[in-house]
Amino acid sequence: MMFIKRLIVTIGFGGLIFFNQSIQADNMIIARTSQTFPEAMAELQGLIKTKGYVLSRVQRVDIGLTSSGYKTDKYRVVFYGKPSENRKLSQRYPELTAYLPLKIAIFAEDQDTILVTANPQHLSKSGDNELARVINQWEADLIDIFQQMREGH
Amino acid sequence: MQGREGTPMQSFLKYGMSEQDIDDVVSYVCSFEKQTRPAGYDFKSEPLTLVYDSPYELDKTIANVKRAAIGKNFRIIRVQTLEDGLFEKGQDNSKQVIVYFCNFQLLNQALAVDPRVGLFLPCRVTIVEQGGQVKLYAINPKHLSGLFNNIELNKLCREMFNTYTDILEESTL
Repeated sequence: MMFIKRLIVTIGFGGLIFFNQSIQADNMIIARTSQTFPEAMAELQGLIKTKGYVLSRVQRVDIGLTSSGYKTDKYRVVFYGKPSENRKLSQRYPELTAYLPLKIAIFAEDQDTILVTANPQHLSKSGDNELARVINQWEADLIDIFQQMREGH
Repeated sequence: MQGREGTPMQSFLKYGMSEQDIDDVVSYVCSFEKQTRPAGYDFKSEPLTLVYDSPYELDKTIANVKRAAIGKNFRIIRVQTLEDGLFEKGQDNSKQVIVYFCNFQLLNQALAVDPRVGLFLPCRVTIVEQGGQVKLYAINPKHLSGLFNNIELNKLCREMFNTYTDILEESTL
């Protein structure tokens, strides 16, 4: 039954990714690219920079796992942000500090590479137009970055 | 079972599955119908962030968070400022500090359930001193479970919610 469960999860997730190649999900933004993991990582970092963001860190999730005896595919979380914007928001909305800097997870799946991030709209507060403007820009940038990643190959 | 002629969908018998395996898969998929979220579920009704006031100074609170995380079988990954990597060293705000911690067994378990969850791992608590008050901020896993919309993650998110609140409470006692 474990095999069946794993198969279902794989099929389900694969299907989700397939549909997200053309449709952006409400809560999560996902892209699959046929680029290798290093190629996709390099392109992602380049696209983030062209949008005016600074890469603050690349977290190697797989290193922590493999050093503890687990095996997993290549998995990184890329943190990024606009320094002055990050500072302003974290002071005005300290509750957002739990979600800053912004991040994108990128991991290898077979020969492909998958990118995942949460749609920043989940951070919005009703009635706050200033925050809404910032979040709308983040969302637009992410949608464009993910679209370019899909078209990368 | 037969596949669908004229489409890329082939019979799963060709992939080595038995008829029993296929029946099991169909049965398992059908069981999802009972696991749908209740109508009107709104994850936004869950607070975005868990917020606790600390009665201690910044450094003492950071030490408390580290001790509480270790007490919950987590390993401290790193401690950094929120602005680390965004500003030159020394220019970053030293009053906003993130403590990252991880339990690799939990991490592996979560990634096996849904690889998207790595986006919010490793775990972290942000400690902020603002206006003379130290506060702790953490993601709310119950809020995030609504984002992922994966029923298998809900139990894990509830457990993580309890873990986060335990760590936050212990750090501010």
